[in-house]
Amino acid sequence: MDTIRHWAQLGVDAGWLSESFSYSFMVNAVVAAILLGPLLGGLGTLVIAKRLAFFSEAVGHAALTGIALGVLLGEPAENPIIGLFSFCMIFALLLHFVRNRTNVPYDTLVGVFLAFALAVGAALLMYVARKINIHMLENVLFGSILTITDYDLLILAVTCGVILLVLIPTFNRILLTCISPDIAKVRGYATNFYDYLFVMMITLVTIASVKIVGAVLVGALLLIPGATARLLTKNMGSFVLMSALLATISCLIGTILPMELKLPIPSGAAIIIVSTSFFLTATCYRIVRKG
Amino acid sequence: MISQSVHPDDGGREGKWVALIILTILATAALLLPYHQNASSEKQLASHQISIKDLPTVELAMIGELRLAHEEIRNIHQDSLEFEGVDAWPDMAELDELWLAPFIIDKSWERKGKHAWRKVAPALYQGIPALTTGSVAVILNSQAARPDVWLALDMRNPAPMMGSTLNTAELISAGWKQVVFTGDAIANVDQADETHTDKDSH
Amino acid sequence: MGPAIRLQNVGLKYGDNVILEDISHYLEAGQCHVIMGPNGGGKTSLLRSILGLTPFTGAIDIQWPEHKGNIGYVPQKATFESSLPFTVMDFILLNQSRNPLFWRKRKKEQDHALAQLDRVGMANRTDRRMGQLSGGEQQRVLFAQSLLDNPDLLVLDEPTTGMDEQGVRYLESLIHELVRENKTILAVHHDVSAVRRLDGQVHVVNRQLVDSGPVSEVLRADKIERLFNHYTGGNVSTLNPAQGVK
Repeated sequence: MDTIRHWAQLGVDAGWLSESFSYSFMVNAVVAAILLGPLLGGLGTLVIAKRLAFFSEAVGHAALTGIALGVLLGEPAENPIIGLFSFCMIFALLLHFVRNRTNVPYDTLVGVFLAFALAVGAALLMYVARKINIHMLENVLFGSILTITDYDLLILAVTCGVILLVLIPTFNRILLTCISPDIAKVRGYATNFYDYLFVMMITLVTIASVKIVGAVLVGALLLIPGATARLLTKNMGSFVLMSALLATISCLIGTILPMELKLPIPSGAAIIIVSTSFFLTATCYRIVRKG
Repeated sequence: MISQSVHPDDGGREGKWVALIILTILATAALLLPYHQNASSEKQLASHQISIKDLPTVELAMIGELRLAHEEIRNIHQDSLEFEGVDAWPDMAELDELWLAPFIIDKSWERKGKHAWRKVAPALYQGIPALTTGSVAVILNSQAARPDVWLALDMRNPAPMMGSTLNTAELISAGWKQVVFTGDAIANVDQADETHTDKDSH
Repeated sequence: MGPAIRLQNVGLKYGDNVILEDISHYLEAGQCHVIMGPNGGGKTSLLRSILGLTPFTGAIDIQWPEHKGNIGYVPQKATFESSLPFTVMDFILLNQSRNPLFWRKRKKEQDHALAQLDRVGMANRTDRRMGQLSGGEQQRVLFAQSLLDNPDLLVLDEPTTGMDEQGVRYLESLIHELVRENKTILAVHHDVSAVRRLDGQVHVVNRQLVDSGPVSEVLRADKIERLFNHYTGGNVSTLNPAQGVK
């Protein structure tokens, strides 16, 4: 990482990169955006295909409770990773299991889980507030590029690497499972396994993104670039690539621009605003094209 | 002839696997948790040291700006080493020119207590406030990569420093307190700093 | 050579709802077996049970003559969202390999896909979104998918629903071709005249096995009228004719 920061410094001195890149957290944030963007976009296409957008919202909000839980159990406030990971993963698995095994309508079910996660999270967070300073709450909810340490980047890189390695051979199977679980089963695919595997991947990427995008908006980042790409592409291959590209660009602009313009808005908000503006542009383009 | 028996699709296995995974997660968490406790609370601070967490907000703002200034100062020093071959640390005029907080005179400076800044020695800067409302007297030592900040928390009228080097013993005996940062807490200070500087009109 | 299928005391129920009851039968290898019966009589459930997709009770064995072969399944329908940019080619490739759709497509796979699509007459529609095809066209693509692994057992659930005449012709010629190759075909079909053309074995299912035999015997004029009635036979109570779930 130091090498990268050194290069960034050289870039600043040479005049290509702006001043803000001489700050180490800025370089960290850019690297994080590059690591996360493609994965969020790629997984987002499956989220859209499987109609799990609401589900990923819920998992994102569960991150709030996970963080509060971790701090409550004594973890360092800036990195309560055990609490975060454990709670989010268990939450996601249970939610998916209950969905499979009961007749409760899906949106009701997710709504209940989501509300629960948020409520418990808020309660716990207030309770542990004396241990942490108020800015941490803001960071958790909406993300902050300032808090990304080298350690975070390492975890991010490993997580993204693992997910990518798992996603590539399983992408087709997961997609087939959601389009026709029957055909998949007859072909001998373990549909339940792929289902849960996907749920776990979504949860992992959500946890990894919470620091940059924040618990409230991280689910949106799985949804919006994919929704945009859907309007612009003609086949699955370009759908995935376009979604990954849009997500990465949104992340980059969302982290760099507020620093450049000296706007004190949290990175999560900026990223989502950029992402949504892409979506709106694409929608207008489509409307104009058709009309 | 090979007879393949068709298995009916009942759901018992799904439940068992989910339960298994959840239990594994809980077990792993329980195992790892004791190793991931908030370490800084256990660190023993010496009597002349104070944790950044125990500082009042008004000091945090000053420290936040100093942290950023520290990086800038070190950059300038690095540049002069590399490009001019001179081991020079910026003086107050240069820092003023760069519009570097907290050294410049603006509303924020007033609120902080109208510190009079001077460069005591290479890499050593001291600010003594004119007002009692606001931050206390500060010393910034930029010799090392990590910023070394001293605050005159208990001293009413700290004496301006003499001498060309930082003598830790002298500072301690004079009553200065050294600020101890935690690894990531520095970033929180930056955040506090961000909101403060943005509200100020430069 | 396709397999034979043996069913022993196969039953299926969801809660108190009995779908299939005590079905014991032997479906001979290398034949075309059509399952007919009234709506809700359990035809699709029987098919799906043979594929292992339901929590049935009893024993179902697939008896392969030499080595274990491939099974092709054409479901009644699949959910294709029209807004998802998911093309016909995407769908077929999806069924073929693990090579993810966003990676570079392998020529061999594409050629194989095109060959199957050609057999159902959809080779010139590979770039269309699945969600934008008509019901019958989607069925054709589903059929192409089932042919990918050169199946020895082909299971079809109402394969010509919503198909236009051209599609039906493609389908029937393909089925005849497979029968000539001594594959086993298992199909749920409504169209009596089509079934006559297929000239295989007909099995009538209405919660139980009601009738079974070659087309000429079962689809006799006098029997046909009652074929689609919800008649109940023998000891089965009349209070609860199998409803809803097929």
